Amino acid sequence: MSTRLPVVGDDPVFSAEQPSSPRVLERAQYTVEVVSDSGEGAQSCGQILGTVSAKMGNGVWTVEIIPAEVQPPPRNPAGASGNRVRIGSGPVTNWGDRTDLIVAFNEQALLARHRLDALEPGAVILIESMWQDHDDEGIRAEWSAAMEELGAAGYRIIHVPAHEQCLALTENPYLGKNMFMLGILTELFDRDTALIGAQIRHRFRKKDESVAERSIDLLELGIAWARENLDFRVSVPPVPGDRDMVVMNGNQAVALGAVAAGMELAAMYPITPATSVSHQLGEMFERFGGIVHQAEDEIAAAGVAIGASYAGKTAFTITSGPGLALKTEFLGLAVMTETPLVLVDVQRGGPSTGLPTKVEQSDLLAAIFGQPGDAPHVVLAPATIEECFHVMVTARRIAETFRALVIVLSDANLATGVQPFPRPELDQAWIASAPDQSPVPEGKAPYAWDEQTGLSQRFIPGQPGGMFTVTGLAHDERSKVAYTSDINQWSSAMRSRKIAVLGQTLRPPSLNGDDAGDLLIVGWGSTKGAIEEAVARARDEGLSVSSLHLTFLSPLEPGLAEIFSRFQKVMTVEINYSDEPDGPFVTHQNRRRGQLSWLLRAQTLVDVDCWTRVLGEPLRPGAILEVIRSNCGAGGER
Amino acid sequence: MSHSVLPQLKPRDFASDQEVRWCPGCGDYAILKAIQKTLADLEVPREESVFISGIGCSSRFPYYMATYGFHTIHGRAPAVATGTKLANPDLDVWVITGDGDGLSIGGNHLVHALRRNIDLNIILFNNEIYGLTKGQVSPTSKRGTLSPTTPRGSVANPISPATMALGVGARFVARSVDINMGHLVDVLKQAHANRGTSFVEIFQNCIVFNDATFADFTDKAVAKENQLLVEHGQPLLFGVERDRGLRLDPATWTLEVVRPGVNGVTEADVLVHDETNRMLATMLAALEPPGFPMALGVLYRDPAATFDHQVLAQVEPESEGRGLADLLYGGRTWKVG
Repeated sequence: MSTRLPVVGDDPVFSAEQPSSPRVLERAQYTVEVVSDSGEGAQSCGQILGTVSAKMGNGVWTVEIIPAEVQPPPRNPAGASGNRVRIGSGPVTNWGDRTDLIVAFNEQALLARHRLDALEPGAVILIESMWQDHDDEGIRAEWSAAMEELGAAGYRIIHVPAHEQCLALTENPYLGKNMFMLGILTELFDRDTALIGAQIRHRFRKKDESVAERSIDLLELGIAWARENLDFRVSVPPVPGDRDMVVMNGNQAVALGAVAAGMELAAMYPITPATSVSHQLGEMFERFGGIVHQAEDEIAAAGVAIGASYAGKTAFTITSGPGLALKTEFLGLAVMTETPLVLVDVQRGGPSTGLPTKVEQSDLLAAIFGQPGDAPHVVLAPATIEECFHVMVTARRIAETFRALVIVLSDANLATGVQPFPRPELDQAWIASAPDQSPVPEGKAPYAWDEQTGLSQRFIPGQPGGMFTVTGLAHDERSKVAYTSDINQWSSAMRSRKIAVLGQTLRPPSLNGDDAGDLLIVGWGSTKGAIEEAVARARDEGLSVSSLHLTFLSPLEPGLAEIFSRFQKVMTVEINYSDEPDGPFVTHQNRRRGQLSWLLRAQTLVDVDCWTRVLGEPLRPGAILEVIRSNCGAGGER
Repeated sequence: MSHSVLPQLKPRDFASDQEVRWCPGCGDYAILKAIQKTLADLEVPREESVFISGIGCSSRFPYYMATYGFHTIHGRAPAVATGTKLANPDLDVWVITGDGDGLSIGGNHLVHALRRNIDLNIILFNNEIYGLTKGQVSPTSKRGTLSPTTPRGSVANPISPATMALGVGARFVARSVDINMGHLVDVLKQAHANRGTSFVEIFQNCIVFNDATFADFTDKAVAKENQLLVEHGQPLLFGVERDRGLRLDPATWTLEVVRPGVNGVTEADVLVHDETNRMLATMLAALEPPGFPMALGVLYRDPAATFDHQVLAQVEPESEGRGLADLLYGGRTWKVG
């Protein structure tokens, strides 16, 4: 890896003397974190740095560091709130391993990150120094203890008198310090101050103009302080491109994608981390004829979407794990009545309330098999923020074409991560054409299943001649309740056949790496970037490893068994729980495996192993690399 | 065959070809006839009427209508109906529910439909029992009801559906009885005419599991004596001879039964029904025999802006996705380099 900064211990290394010519550290990629107490604005500081870096042509991936509470107690390690921004010269596909530089508003938030092994050895720490001489003896003691622990770890610690500096411009530095810190980062990374200023103005556009102006003054104060006091700069050269780019997080991408797909109604109930999709829609959906409906509960949100879809609108519902559980019965109704429905599940840690603000991929099997009875439907997962946009078009089209339920599995990592991607070129064909409202020919049935495909035309209320009652009861082609033995068998086959037909239209997944080798890593969803980075590093080490990433989880993309047969060992890497193979009482048969691993084993009869973690954070490519090293040439699961 | 409005549709034109499968003698038959007659009288286009139900005996209702119908899941019909109405406000959307479906498993959805005042006609068939699952107590069952799940008698207090509806802000609350065909059709027409959520509770007899539970005011022998048919602007008089009335006792703020001409009471002392008076409606909804009549008819009607109308007024459709291009091609976009 790159060269390390010198370790100086816990003494502030800056001095009043102005560094004549700061050292410039040239890096291909660099990771920064900003952490504070909740409400002090570390998140906006990090987000602005990330967005501006993207606009300057850097690859960027940001991850929010979020406590579960809105206002947790101050100066508490569990309350650390902020952002990690990984900046690269080329595209950045994941959050990386550890941070190279951290800006901390207090030593407790810093300590939390240190204890989570989030900091590179020798990382640069810019710490607000106001606590060192605080009036409160307890705080001074906490500071000393923290500094002792951090000092022993060998970071380069730089004291920043941010509070004191900000007092020159504001009575309450707690509400402006983040802009001062942003100024330091602006100087350190040579960010375009015009872009930074524009981003600040955008953020405060709904507030009095003076707020943005004061923020920019604080920013400039931070820039000036850094110029005088910091002896290094970091250069991650942007790469000019010729494509128009957009930058957003995954929930914004879902919202914009829904509009691009011609969605007309989003029904939801507030739930972390899915809610911000509806906030984004709330800002614009009405202008496109769309409605955001906040229902009385998760169940009703599904019902409203189904009711709207039944009446001919394109509708979707947004939720996270607990909401997915509550909506289950309605999902079965959508399948049974063949009412098109798109459900976006922004996964978080589970079960139960679990880890509301943290990433996990634990809803896969619930999404596929969670509905009692046989309820064939479609499950797909975007792997990048760009895919969060396009997946909405795909999902809407499949739902309408196949009269199907389509579940989209995003997650907290995608939801809050910010990444630039090429601007989508809008296509009118993405928007659903108006449903056929012409009179239904006499004798035509509401489930006139095509025997080959299981497809049928649905009737929309208001359409003359289509007056049937659709029902969640087993029913025949004319939607009459099934009272004879063969009807349920037949209608079940028709609903299942549609999914088989869809499966036939899918292409086999492409491999990242060689077509054959020692080890194949299989992933799905937001882990793609981390897996591919790990595979690239492993291949640089000469290891025979490839990876494959699935978008369609149900139906599965074709050809998997054949692809798997070309590798000595196949294993999934996922953010969900699995038993260690050598854990107490764990046997090869009884081992509880990663969810994709369960699925692949069942569908391909290949002995697919897994490596999974539920640490409440995205996977680190370095950790995956370790897994690859220890599994290359290891054969099947033993 | 023409599918649009036929001026002379008969009640039977609203009947589907499905065999009706309620128990012989069920009150639901009478309600089905009443609704079919209501729609025929109103000359509504069949393709623009949608009956959405949950689960239970009452919720089989849509099968028997030659309109659009959606037999959904237990308790959730108001949610589906809300989506349907928002999607197409031109539709005439009816919700058919029961005391278990609407007040137990689906209580939340009913409450929120009522407080939103979305333009639905919600018809609650109250038989004070779970019929389809064979006779368990329901949230409207009287205390002491013997059932398979309460073999020693239920000990919970029943919900009064009309009182609950008034309490959560419903703008139209009415009551009728399955076998009062004329009255029921009249109430249903008024419900249909009301813009907003129209809540109609129908006392419906379950002949198998809870026979005669409403006999104290529906039995022919006592119906006239114990039914107070309220009408806006008319004195609250009841009885075979219409010789008894309701008066407000100012000392206790309660209603009392009085006889005009007796003990110095005059006709002027009898309250006149004001359907816009929520307090009066709430007092009327709480009356029951013995001692008081059962108040039937439109207890409360005070129309307000509907949810669907207000939501859709906030929507300003723009031309053909152009606006999204502005979003994606505007401030968010830049060219690198």
